[in-house]
Amino acid sequence: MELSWSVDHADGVSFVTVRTTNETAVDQRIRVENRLEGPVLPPRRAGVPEDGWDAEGYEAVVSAGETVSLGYACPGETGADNVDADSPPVELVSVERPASEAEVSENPTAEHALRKCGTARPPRDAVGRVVSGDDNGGGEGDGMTDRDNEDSDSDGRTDVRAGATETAGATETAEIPEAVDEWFGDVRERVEDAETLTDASVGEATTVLAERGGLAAVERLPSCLDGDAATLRAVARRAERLAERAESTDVPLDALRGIA
Amino acid sequence: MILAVVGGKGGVGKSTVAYNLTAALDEGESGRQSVVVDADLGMADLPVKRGPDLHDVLAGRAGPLEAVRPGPVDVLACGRSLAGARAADLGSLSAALERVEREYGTVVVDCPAGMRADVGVPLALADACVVVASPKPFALADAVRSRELARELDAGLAGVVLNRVVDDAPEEAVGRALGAPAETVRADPRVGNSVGEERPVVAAAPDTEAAAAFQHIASAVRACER
Repeated sequence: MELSWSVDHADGVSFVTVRTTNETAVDQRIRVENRLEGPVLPPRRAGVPEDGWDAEGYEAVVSAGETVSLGYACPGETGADNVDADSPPVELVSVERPASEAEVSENPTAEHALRKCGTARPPRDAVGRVVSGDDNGGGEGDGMTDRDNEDSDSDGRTDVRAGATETAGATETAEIPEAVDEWFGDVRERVEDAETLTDASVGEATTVLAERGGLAAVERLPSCLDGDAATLRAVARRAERLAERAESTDVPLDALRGIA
Repeated sequence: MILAVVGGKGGVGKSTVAYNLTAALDEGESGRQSVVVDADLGMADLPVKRGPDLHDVLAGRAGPLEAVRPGPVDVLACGRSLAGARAADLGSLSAALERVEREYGTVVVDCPAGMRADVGVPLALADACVVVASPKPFALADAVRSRELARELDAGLAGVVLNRVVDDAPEEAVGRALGAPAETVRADPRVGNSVGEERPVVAAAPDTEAAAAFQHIASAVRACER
């Protein structure tokens, strides 16, 4: 087997191109693994990695005399400066005869169908700001926009609404001013992105990276979140003090009525 | 077995056929052995009752069997919110359908219109499919495309239903175009209302032509299973 490669760097991401040629007279199953520091971001169709890719690399059968070209991206610390230009970004870890003919044409799976047919999800804009599914406890449900509310009403029941009623059951139902609500919403989106990126799979990480507009936007995320946390705590303290003062007042209405 | 009910065009009666076919598949069985799953994530048709639905299952909030509602036909219905449709992960449909199949034996999946992944994934998971066509030429073209998709995704064709036929049915032409004998279901209000009223025709009107047609399709499906 012959393996050649090249790496381009742009914006903190390495783009690796690999060509493998099977010079033998028989089909070979090869496995190529990433040696750069960072996750493998494989080529995708409809959000699903192409056949043969996994978290570490790529595996496929190369027919006799054929050449296979592949490429992937790898974000991480390895900028152009601190990477050894001569150390290969990939390694051919195994070459063996494919187990059987059947291996080549296996049954179509859900992943095949997803790649082939493309996503069927309604676009994000059609949904408004979605409370992302499951257990968003702790006041999150209150962060719905008006559009979300309309959605819920017209549908009779929705998951978003279910989250909201859960929260309402836990605390008292109270209107939150629209501006504050909006700000909470923005912060929540940043927190959710950061949560997704913490221990993210390659798939989740790429989705967030794509949605945030690349690595540059994500690089700002930690400092943004520090600021958010400080502001949230300050707001909480001031809100708590104000609420205490509000509750401790006792306007003597009867006496005032007597005077008036 | 997992059986996908597809048709390409919307409004040809996929849900009605899926519902009545499930009832027909269950006839003569001891105990409940078939269930219909409404996989139309964006625009569900089968009646929704209280409790978790397929959106919840595909978002990991409920187990597949928790979401099945018993009735004259057991139904795993689908939510109707866009937010739910967006949060649903089609990648987890496989595990959900397999779990239901282990419990019931036969799972009829009512697929949405179109050719996107929400049709493709059930077809890829299905052992066989039933194509529903309406006798209108334009609907037939879509049925042929669905048939092609099913072929590519390895879902064998168990039968063709020519639904809501008023006059003479072009059974032979349709059968030739799709590659399986077509069964005609005539326009009949009892069929049309069966889903909303939850009265499958094989039980509510067993002596009708429509009930016989669904029984024929059911036996064709059973033949595929063997």
